[in-house]
Amino acid sequence: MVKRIMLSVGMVLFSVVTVVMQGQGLCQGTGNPVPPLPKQPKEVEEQVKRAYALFEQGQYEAALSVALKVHQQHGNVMVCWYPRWVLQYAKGNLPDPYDKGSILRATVEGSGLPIPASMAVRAKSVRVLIAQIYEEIGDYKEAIKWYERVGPKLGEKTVGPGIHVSHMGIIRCMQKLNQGYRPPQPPPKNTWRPLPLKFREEDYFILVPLDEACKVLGLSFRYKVNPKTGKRTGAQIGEKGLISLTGRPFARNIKGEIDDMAYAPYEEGGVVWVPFYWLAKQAGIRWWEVRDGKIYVAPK
Amino acid sequence: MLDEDLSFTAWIEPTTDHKGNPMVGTIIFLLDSSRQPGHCLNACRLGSEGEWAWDGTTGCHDDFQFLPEQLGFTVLPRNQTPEGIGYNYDTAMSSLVTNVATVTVRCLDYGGWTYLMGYVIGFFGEGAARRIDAPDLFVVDIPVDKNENHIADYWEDLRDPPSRDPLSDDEDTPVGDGRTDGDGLSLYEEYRGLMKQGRWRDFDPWIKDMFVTNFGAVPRDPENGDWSFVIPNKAITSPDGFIGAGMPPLWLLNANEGSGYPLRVVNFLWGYAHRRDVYAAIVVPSWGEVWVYADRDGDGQPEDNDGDGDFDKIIYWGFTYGPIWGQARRPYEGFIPPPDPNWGNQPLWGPPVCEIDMNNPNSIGAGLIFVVGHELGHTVLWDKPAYGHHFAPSAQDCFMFQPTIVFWPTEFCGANPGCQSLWKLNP
Repeated sequence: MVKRIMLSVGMVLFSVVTVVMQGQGLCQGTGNPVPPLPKQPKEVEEQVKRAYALFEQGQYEAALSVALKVHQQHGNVMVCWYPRWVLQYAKGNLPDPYDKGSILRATVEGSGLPIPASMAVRAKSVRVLIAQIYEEIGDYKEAIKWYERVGPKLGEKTVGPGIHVSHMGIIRCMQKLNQGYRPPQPPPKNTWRPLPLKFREEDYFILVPLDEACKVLGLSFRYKVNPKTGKRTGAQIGEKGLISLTGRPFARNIKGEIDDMAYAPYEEGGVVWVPFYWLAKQAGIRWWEVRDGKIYVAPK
Repeated sequence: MLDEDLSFTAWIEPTTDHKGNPMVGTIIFLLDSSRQPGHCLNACRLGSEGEWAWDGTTGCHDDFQFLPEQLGFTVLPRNQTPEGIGYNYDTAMSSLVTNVATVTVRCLDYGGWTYLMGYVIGFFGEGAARRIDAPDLFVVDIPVDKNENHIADYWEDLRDPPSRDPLSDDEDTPVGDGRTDGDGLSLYEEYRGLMKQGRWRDFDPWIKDMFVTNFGAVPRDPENGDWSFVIPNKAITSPDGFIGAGMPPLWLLNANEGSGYPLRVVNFLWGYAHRRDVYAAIVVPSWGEVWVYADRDGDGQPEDNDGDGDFDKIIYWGFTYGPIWGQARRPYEGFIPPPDPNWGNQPLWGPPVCEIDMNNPNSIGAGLIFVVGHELGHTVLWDKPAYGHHFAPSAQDCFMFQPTIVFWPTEFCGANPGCQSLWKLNP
């Protein structure tokens, strides 16, 4: 009896199918690749934070004074910290800001922050800060000296695979020297006028209420509101400017260009607090200072 | 291919016996399938009806199964959950006696393989099916695989690899770290492929591949409509990968398309013919200064040359911690001598992380592309002198410039900011 079954092989059609990925955890080495930086005393931390905030807000003379004093007393310290606005959004424990390995891990594995953990930490070395301040002031020769102290110098043997801040700073300053560039100087302070604006200081940043500040500075703005929750998510400044109220310091200036803030704005009790230096810049105000409990601005 | 259905037909010849009775019986198909974890090297899915539903792709699921619902068939699972949900459907029986039956098999793994057999049981006895292309064989291999290395002959003929050993890893292009022994993915893994930004693809067994995960691919302000990324993907790759002379194909992966820390492994769902873990470079945006301790004398300890009581630190715009190739095979051993003894040891030898200082005024835009590109270059050229830095004929035509003579390549200053053709990793 013949019993034969035959199989015919089906034609194979190749196609790419997109599927939802389900990651499966795999244990890797858990060691820390980077020895943590030495922690600095609270007093030193606060001084560096202050110098940094003054620098970011354009108060270069004051920033230089503080930074030089820190350097004189404590050497080339490096200070790491979380800004206060970051702590408001932290849902769990954040890694030690001096421990880069833990910060990288939190960046890769997730920290619950609205921004990558590596961007939540501020790390500032006093020498770099001093070099940057001199550069902004326009004293490029002094800036080069400090960048060289940060090291390595141009032409000096470099360490490790990367692009050195010192090299880039020195080259930038040399180019400005060669071009004979001088940054504009502020007008005499007797021409500055006080603004009828309340403010608060946080991490040495001057924060002002957005509504009042825009009115005083002559900036148009409107809040962006989530239609589902009714909560404010941000504000449009002018036609193209944008600030976030969701725990992000990312911002676009009134030209629509990326112009991130050194301190993130936030809403508290119905008032939106925004770094004054950023708003002033949008209004074309280059120089300002806090004097006698008031914000004084230079003429545009 | 995943979720592809293949049909196979078995029939009985002749249709009647010598007395004129119809030759009919119960036709039974059996599968003997591979069972790889996931459905490719970096992706796995649960079943459509729960964790153990039949079309999941975990390591407990067969890579080929019969469709559970097939007209004219009773399809039986080999396993079932406590709730009674069946999976691993490896047996299909015709519901009625017949002299011809067509069964459908579904592929649930890009690198899966299986053996299909057919039987008949009838009044005349029983027997096994023969193949029409090879009547002396009773088993169909899916996919067609004459050399039985579990790689489809179709793919091997298409790619024509240097070797057909499934464990081979013979890429020699680009030279990269000076060795020619591949990129870490075995031939079988190049064939099985992985998900790249949600899409599966296989890889060329002649060319070393490089993978990158961008942890700066975070929308800047999604609640207010700004979906641009903190580190734009274009800072890492053009749509076709790096296109410069000597560059390896560079594949940008989503964050969840690798697993582990500090090493992000891209072939973490490995099974058959696995050589070693292959790592993705990790791009990380930083808002503080990017720093490392200095160890110029190479004694394995940070030093205090300026005598201020604190270890010297080097501050970077961007910095790479470790290699993709070369020493990626032993990535995490503390102080490892660098290729050039003049460079001193680094305490940070480790995972291939490219840390980028986003707070630097020149890091945004074209400068960012430059910095990220430069750092990624280090991950490939780690074992070259000076980690791949070199004196280019002109400092304007190479990412891997010697830093002491850096000037922006003009293409990144405005004429063509997105151009990445200036990569010249093998000077």
